[in-house]
Parts: sequence; structure tokens; C-alpha cells
Amino acid sequence: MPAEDVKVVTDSGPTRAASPAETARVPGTREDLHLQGATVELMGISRRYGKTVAVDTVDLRVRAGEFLAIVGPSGCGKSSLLRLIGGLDSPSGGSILIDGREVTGVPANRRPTSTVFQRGAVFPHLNVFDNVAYPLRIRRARRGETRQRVAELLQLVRLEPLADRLPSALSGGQLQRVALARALAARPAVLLMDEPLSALDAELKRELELELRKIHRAVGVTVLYVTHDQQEAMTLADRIAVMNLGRIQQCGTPVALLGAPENEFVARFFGHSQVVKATVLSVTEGTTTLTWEGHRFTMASDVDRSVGTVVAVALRPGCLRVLGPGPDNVVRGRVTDVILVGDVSRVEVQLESGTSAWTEMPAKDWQGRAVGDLVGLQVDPGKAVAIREP
Amino acid sequence: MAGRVGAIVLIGIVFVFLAAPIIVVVVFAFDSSARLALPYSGTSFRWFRAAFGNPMIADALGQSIKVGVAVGVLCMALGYAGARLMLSTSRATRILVGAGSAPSVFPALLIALSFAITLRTLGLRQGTMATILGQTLVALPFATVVLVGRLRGLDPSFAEASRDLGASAWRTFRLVTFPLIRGAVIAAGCLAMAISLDEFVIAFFTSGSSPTMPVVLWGLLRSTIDPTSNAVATVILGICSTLVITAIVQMGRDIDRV
Repeated sequence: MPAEDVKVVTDSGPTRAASPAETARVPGTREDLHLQGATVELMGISRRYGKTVAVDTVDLRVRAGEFLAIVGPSGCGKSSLLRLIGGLDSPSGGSILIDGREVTGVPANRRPTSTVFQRGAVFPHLNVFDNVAYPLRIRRARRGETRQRVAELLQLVRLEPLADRLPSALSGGQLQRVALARALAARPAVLLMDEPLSALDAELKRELELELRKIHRAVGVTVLYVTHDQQEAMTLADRIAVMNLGRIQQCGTPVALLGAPENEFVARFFGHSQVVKATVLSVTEGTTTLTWEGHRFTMASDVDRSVGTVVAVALRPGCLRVLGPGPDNVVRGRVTDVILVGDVSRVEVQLESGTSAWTEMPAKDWQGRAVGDLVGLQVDPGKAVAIREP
Repeated sequence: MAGRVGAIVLIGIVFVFLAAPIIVVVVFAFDSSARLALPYSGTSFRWFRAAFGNPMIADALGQSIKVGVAVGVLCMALGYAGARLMLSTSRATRILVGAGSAPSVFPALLIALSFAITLRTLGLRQGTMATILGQTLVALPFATVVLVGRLRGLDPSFAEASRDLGASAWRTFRLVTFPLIRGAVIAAGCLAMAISLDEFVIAFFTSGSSPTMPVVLWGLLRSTIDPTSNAVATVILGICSTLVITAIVQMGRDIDRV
């Protein structure tokens, strides 16, 4: 296996230093809440069920203390991948290393990982205190030590007054906080979170996301966070791995994923872009002129392509300007539909050639126009990104 | 409206038809006269005193309870194992375990006979052990069914979370799984014990010189018909009813999902 990261776009990610003093801390957090995050390495990990491939030879490198989100559509294998790392499932092939040590055959209860499940899996027959104390009791901690540690963790997740409550008396958000405190009580080197906020309403989600960020900064553990909510991933993560059909399509910072998508899936799913095929007309130093549907545009690009080749170009939302059909050098078409999404209008256009395109604009800019109008579309090169095939 | 009343009346008649013989037996167990006919002479416990003053019957009660408890405990453990296997992803496993329910629909006489012959072939004696094994055979499917029902409704992520947090398989069972299925386990045990207490055919062939209550009752009926038999039958009925009611109550006690 090459020593270099295979799928990571080169950028300077945050390097977590070993000493607690160097990480940004929430003031007032006790020294011993801080956990030493471990590195995680996946090499050729696969999981097959008969003919179905849930995870398809995945390679991944996670830095110590990093918050890595795994994003993808339903069924892409992200939860399966997390279960493999946690030891709740065995891979069909490949190996997993945590802090350089092979854990592939090691059962879940002996791995330095803890999982926060989608519905919390908080034990219904134990109260909040006993739930959080569970990993400590399993490790036969002394009673005083247990009491102190549970108190600290409950304080961290802001649940101290509810220590005596049974799970049946708690709300969804409270249950997830118990689950988090309990997972942290096990002092994991790697924290695995499987869509922990997906069952909560939007407002509660935003609130807990911010809390999670703070907690991660305070504790410093390595986090692998599975979600289908892209916004959540962008709020929480240092880097994001985009998955589809069992493979990691690209792994990098949000900026890198949006600004330099490596394939069509990432551009479409993550960048919400439409991908069009344009032909290279001319290349100068730093810029490329392309033509699409008869429309010429020039973008700043370091794409190394020769004249005449076809390049996949991702047009980010709002990349296409909508003008009247009159001007030269536009792509002509007819508006087929306008959908209001929040305060943005999404405009669907049927082009002369028969294919369709769409764009977005602030809703107020659309006023005065209607479905059925003839329009001309123009590419805003600042919002177009050439997809470099790896 | 008329249909409703008709249905209730019909159900009432069926219940009375089924329950009437039992009610008659219990009523006459307390009749001070030995005639087993109306009119009722007066309430008395003399037949109970007579029955359990008789060492043969008293021993049989002890034997029934001993065997019943053993069958109950065995069925709790084996029933749990069987239930876990029933939830296996392997179709072959499920079919195999399902086939294990066969004894419950097989004619009890054939089971008892073949069991007795097997014992003889293996050189095992009649007695307590043989009775326990034979009755476990027929009671086990019922216990398994109760536990399968509960396990199906149990969220597997509780056990997974426990393992994930560092607990071994045994500690996971003891600290997480068992507390959540305790009601069903007790219910399965009570049900198995009730089946054992009531069971006649297998016990007849296997209990040999240490008979259970139903076997002794049969012996009593062969000689004389007097209310002593009613007393014995009432005791069996009483214990079985208590067990079944306990089972029903326990089934409802498990904390379901949060």
C-alpha cells in the first residue's frame, strides 16, 4: 500500500498534537476528560453478503483526534463500514488498524472503540446514572471513581439533574446525550457515531451539532461520524468521506470537495451541481476555453487537456445566469418549471437540443418572468468546476 | 345487536360446557358427604386431609413438584437457546429448530411409548430422571414459543451496545439481555411446569415407582370413586392455575423499547 493517502486531496488538515495543552479546550474541563485520539487505517476493507457488496475495498486514513464524517445516500454502505470498524461485524476482506495495531479479528468488546447508535440503545432498565456508569462497572472501576467520572460526563452533556431518571422519561435529544456520555465513559480512542441525530427534529439537531463540536474540542477523541445530512457533516467535520455503492468516492475538506470534485457523483451529490460535457476549444496558461451546447465560456482551470477533448464540468447551483433569448453566446431554451425552495427559485429549462438544465437564483430575481418564457443561459465561470478524472 | 347477544350466549354455553366438569369436580371436593351427588351436605376439608394423610399421595405431590420444577428450569434454559437459534439468519437452522416442535403435535401416547422403549434400550431406569426428560420433550416447544415471541420484540442494539462498551457475551446476557426478558423467561418456566404437573401419559410410562400426582390419581380412580380423588384433582388444578396466571402476569412485565 502506498504510504501516501490515496483519496485525500492534499491540504493542510488540522494536526492534533499529543499534548492536551495545544488543543482548543472548553474552559473549565477537567484534565482527565481529555482522551487520546487514535489513528484509524482501513486497507482494502470489504463486506459481502452472498452476491451483494455492501462495502467495496475501502481504503481510508483517519488522523488522531480528527473528526471525519462519512456522507452518502441510503444504502451506500456507510453504516456497514462503521460497524466493521467497531467490531460489530466482520469484514469479508482487508484489514483495520487502530494506532497502527491490527484489530481485524478482535471482538467488539476488546476494541478501543465506542459506538453511539442511531436510536441511542440506552438500556431501558437502568437509569441515566447506571447507563453512563455501565462501561466503568464492566471495567470494575472503584465506586468513588465511577461516581466522579459519571458526574463529570453528565456535566459535559448537560444532564446532571436527570441522573435518576429512567430512559422512558427522557426525550430523544436527552437519550442521545446519555448515549454519548456512556460511550465516552468507556474512554475510547475512537468514537463511532451512526447517524445519531437523524431521528431528531431540525432545530434540536442544530443545537446538538454545536454541542458536539464543543465536546469534541474538549475531549479530543478521534470521531467517525456517519450521516446522510450534508449540512451536518460540513458543520461538524474536519474532513468528509463521500461514499456511494460501497466505495469512497472522495475524501477531503468541505472546501476541497466543493472546489475540486474528483468525479461526477461527488459533484452531483455533494456539490449539488449538474454535470455537463463540454469540449475544449483552447488552452492558455491557467485558463481553458470550452464550448457547451454552442455556448463558449472561459474558466480558470489547471485541467491538463488538449484541444478537442471532452471534459466533465460541474456547474454549481446558480452557475447559469438566466438572460433573455436575444444575446449572442447563450444557450437557448424554454422554461419548463420553477420551484421555490426556501427563498431560492429553482428554474428548469428545456434546451434547444432537447436536454434539460437547471439553475437557481434568489426568488426575488425571478419575478416578472414565467414558465414558458424563452431564455438564454450563460455560464458564470466562477461557479464552474472541471472534474479531474483521477 | 341481536347478533352480539347471540354470540355472547354461544360463547357462554361453550365455556360452561368446557368448565362444568371441572367445576363439578372442585365443588364436590369440598362436600362433606361421600355420595358425589346433590344435594350438597356441607363444606368440609376432610377429603383433603384424607388425601394428603395418605403417604402415597403426599409423596406423589412432592414428586410432582420436584419433577415440575426441574422441567421448568430445563425448559427455561433450553427454551432460550432454542429461541436464539430460531432467530438465526440461517434457514437450515430455523427449520431444524422448528422441527423440534414436533413433540407438541405428536400423539402423546406414541411419544411416551417410544420414550419408554428408548430408555429400556439405553439401559436407563424408570424414575424421576426419565420423567423429567420425557416431559421436557413435550413442554419445551411451548417454552420456546414464548421466548421467541419476546426475543423477536427485543431490539438487538441493546446487546450490541453492551458488547461495544466492553462487556463479554456472558456479562451482556446477565446484565442487559436477561433483565429485559426476565418476565418471558419466568413465564416460559411456569408454563412448562404447569404442563409437567398436568401431564399423565409420559409420566405413566416413565415414573415407575415414584409416580406423579396424575398417575396416582388414575390409580385412585381405578379402585374406588370417592371425593379423595376430587381433592387431589383440585390441588393439581389449583397449582396449575396459579402457574398459568403467574405466567400471564410475567409476560406483561418486560420493559419494551424505550
